[in-house]
Amino acid sequence: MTPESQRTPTSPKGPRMENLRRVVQVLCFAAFVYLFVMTIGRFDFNAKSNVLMSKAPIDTFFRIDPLLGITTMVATRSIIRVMLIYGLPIVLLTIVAGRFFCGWICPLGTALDATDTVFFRKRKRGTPGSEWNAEERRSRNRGARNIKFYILGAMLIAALFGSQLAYLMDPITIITRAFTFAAFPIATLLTGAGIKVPYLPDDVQYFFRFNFLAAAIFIGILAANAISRRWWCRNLCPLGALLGLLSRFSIVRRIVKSDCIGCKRCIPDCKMGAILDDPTQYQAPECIYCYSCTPVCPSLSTRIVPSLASEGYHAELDLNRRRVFQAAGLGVLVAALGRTNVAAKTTRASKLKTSSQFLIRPPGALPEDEFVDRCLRCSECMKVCPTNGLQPALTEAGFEGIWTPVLVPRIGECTRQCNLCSQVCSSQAIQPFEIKEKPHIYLGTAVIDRSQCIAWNSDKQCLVCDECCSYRAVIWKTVEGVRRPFVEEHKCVGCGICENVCPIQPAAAIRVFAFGDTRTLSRKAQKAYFDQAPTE
Amino acid sequence: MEKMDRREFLGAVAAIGAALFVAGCSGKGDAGAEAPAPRGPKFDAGTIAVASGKDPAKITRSAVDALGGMGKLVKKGDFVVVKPNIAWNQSPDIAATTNPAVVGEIIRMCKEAGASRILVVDHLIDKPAEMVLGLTGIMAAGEAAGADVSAAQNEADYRTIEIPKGKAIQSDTCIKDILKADVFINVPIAKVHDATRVTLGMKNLMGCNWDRQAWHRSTLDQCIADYATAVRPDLIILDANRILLTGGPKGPGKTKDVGQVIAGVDPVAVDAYGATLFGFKPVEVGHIRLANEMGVGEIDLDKVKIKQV
Repeated sequence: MTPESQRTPTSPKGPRMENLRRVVQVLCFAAFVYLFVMTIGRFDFNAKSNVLMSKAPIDTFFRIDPLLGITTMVATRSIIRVMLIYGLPIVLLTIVAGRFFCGWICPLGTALDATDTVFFRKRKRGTPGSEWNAEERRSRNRGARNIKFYILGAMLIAALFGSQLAYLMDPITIITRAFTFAAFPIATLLTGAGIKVPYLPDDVQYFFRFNFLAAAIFIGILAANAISRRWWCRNLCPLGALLGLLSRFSIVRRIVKSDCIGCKRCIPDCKMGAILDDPTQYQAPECIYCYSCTPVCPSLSTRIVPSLASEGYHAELDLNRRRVFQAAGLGVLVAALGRTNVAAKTTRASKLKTSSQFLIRPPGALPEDEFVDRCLRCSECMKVCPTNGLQPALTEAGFEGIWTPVLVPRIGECTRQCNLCSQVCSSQAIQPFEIKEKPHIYLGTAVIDRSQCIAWNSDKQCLVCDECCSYRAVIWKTVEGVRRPFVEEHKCVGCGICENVCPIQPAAAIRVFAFGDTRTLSRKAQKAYFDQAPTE
Repeated sequence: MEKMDRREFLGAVAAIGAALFVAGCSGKGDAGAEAPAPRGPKFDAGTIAVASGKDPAKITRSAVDALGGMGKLVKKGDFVVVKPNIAWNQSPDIAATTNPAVVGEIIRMCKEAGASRILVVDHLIDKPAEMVLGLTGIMAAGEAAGADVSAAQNEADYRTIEIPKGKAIQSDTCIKDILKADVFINVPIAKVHDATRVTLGMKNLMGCNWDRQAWHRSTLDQCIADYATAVRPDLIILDANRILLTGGPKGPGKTKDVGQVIAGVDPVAVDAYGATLFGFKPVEVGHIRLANEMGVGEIDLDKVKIKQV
């Protein structure tokens, strides 16, 4: 133990920076939760429609995420302005100041640190001195660490070939999906029980498909902390890999002065296991600037300061060339598999996927191919959808379309006075549109199954589909003395309210099919189609 | 693995317990509650009041005054539930939802009579509720007049009721607050309805139950009549300031400015009068005829005293 006198700070920056980092982490996480909670619509009387509760851009974390920005822009060969404007500063700062994003900003990183404090507090991370535990030692293995670079490589190559795969492992999307699909519906159990809570929808209990999967991925990542601190960040996170690569020539560096006594206390405290066996040496691309190593140093030799010193600074990547090629090959393979998956097969006329007749996209969605490449799978549109009708796809849109939003009318319709999903989409996979355009943005077409419909098969007094239609697209005609429903295709946009309310259960007798989806047409052409509707 | 310590164990148990409790709270109602017995005729059941004029609020008041005034029905400290027809995402000018001015005036009259709490409630079809309540103008009108406005969108908001006289349905559900109310006022709007020809007072009660779809699968007209035997409003105030002639019930469609408000206690008589506004004979409307046959009220307008004001 170092005498107390020596601990009085010659450099007080260590603990001060560590505490500052904790404060920033808490603030960033709070901001993340705040933006998530505020991703909810509120009726605005003047607009006569729903507007977002949050004034700040609720997708800020997606905009600043350079991995999503780069892969999406490369895969779609387009410039997405908000992602460029918000993402570029992070890229430049990382080049100059290193991989601070992971240690200070990333909400998943903060969740991992919190997990460590709460659940693995008592876990032996190794004792000061030469012997820290075997798991810790194993996880410092370069081979495992390189996996994230190979994953990143595969994603970038796939993006070059037109497939955006970052959504699979991007940390911001993973934590947001866990919030949307798992945590948020559980919170709305209160709504279902009739308890009104501010910032929760006051009338819809949310249900999501694959909430188990979203929760399992998130919890699995947290639980991997049992192996080592930030096991995910060390070995798998592609965003971490990207930022690590960018930070190679950072001018903020860890310096260990020559008075280091070689006690190795800093080694087990390093969240990333970035410090080598010789504690004066470290792997720079792994360092997330958490400042954990500075306050523990008994000789106060360790500092993280602006510097160009190359002593102890290791930025070289010890990548296995063969593995790099394998990763590139994997990227090409996945892109090619996506192109040849059954979901890529489209019909000739309107480019509809043949994989599912019920693949109904939100209003304003880009044509399918571009939509799938642009969609970040951030799940914000599904969180904000006031009827809970938007659900994550698992099979409808093929492997490439996993987690993309699909309208499931039996759960909730696309309600008339609402365009919230387009307001929250950072990559504009859902293009902005005005409420007044909704009557000619076609998602699909409703079809009546006359063998199931009780007005058709048993002369019941039922015209619920006609009653509820917001577009006057379902009409009745008297057939054999009974009023029976018909669908006027020019007016039916496929919002699905008819399917939602149809008394035939569980599957409705009127269902929305994808065949009326006319996303490949311009808005003008869609309007022209609408104008062909016969007048009443 | 390390042993779980007590704190961890209790924390986990509390979290799971809370989640399950909350989950368990939803969707359970007391089964078999009796429908509220009508409080006895405060107003003459054989009379309906028809007030005409341009100002919806003013004629609402004069219609109720013609029956004897709200003070005759609402006593000091009463809990009043007002059930307008606001199922749709439409603004009031479409005439698919009850005029907010009518609802506002009813609330004010109840306040003046000494009601302690007034709740405006409906089972909305369009979603989300906040938007529907906003767009229909009911939220603004209700809160300005001093009532609570809410939507009964969860199964937990309902209770099972028995319908002893029912032919198609012997039991159904009703919004809990209506069952608890001292005074229940039904405030429909007069519109055409594609399935039932018109939607007036008794049809508006369809918005008191949880599972509307079941009525369509059964025989709709009979279900409406059955339900009217069990759920009796203390007062019906029919908004016919502007009525929807086509495209009902949701609209938009052709409208006609009739400029009337009809008040009465007899559900069949009020609806019979309402049907004539559309040029129907009351017996032509299935559910009105069936309700009359089941003894809910008088369908022959010649036998009803109609006070024109």
